[in-house]
Parts: sequence; C-alpha cells; structure tokens
Amino acid sequence: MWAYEKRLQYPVNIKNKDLKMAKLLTTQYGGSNGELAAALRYLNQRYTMPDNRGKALLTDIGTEE
Amino acid sequence: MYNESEKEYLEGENSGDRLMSLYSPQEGYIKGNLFPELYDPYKNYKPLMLRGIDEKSRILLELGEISFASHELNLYLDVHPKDNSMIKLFNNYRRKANQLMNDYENKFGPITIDSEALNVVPFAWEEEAWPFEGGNK
Repeated sequence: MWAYEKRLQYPVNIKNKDLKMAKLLTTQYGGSNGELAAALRYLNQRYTMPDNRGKALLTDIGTEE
Repeated sequence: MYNESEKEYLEGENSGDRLMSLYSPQEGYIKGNLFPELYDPYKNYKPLMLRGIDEKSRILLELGEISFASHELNLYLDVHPKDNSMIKLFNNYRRKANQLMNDYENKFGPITIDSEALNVVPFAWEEEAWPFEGGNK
C-alpha cells in the first residue's frame, strides 16, 4: 500500500557527535514507546475501526509516524 | 452511526473562523502544527526560523512546508470530512506541493519512483545520495 519519497520530512544538519543525544533519539525512534512501535500500533488497530473516519485517520497517522 | 453531539461536531461546523486562525505553512512547519489552538510551546524553546542556502535547499524547504500543511489538513479532513473551506485550502496546498515536487525533480533528480526525471540512463534513482546520508543538502 505504500510509496516513499526520497527526501526528509524536516531538514537535518548534524554538526557534532553527541552520543548521549544519539541514545535518546534511538530510544525515541525504536524504543518500546517510540515512533516505530506507535506506527505499527496505529496500522494494526485500524483493522478494527468500525467507520471510514477511523480507518482513514489511523492509516494516515500510522503512515506519517 | 454517530451520536447527536458528534454529528453536530461533524456537520454543523463553519470553519471560516478556524481558517483565519491557521498558521502559515512556514510557521506551522517549524512549530510542527498548523493549528494554533493545538500548539503547546516547550518551556521557553523558540523554534528556529529556517532558510535555504541555495536553490536546491530553498525548493526542498518550501516543498517540506507546503507538503506539511497539506498533510495537516489531510488529517483534519479525515475527521471533518464536510468542511468545505478546508477542502479548498487542502487542494491549494496539494497542487502547490505537486508543482514544487515537479520543479525540484526536473532540476535535481527524482523524489518519487513515479517521476518523469527517471527517464534517463543510468537509472537515476540510485545516483543521488540518500537523504539520510546528506543527499538533500
């Protein structure tokens, strides 16, 4: 169902190495309450939505995450 | 299917006022929200104003801003599907984002695998560096 774009959603320009910050970001991204987990929850819960509003919203939010 | 108060919320809405109070795509983009009433500042953090350093990054930034605005309205319209003026605004942003995307692709290479810019040899999709390796700079 998906196509991707070869660009970033928001510009990033990393100037320094910062291991502590990297650790925080990795957790936010892939940790147990991170973006990836949230995306999959949205995309799986959408199958149980009773109406089009819910199906569309959970698909769109899951895709964005 | 909906209860009464929900129905009113969905149908009885006149978004004229709401439309007036939206952030511009530029301001919404750096704040991460197009709807001022839904934006909570973080402590005393002020989002950084963004500007491109060359033509490539300027088009890319504008594309990011306009696509963001269009996507915000996409999410809004999922739950307010009868809001006429928002649908109009969504379509304006959608069209503008498509134009910017074409403009960028003609000058700097493909962003999507549907792009006309892929009609070249060698295959342009893997020529440009990936965004996570600085390809958008």
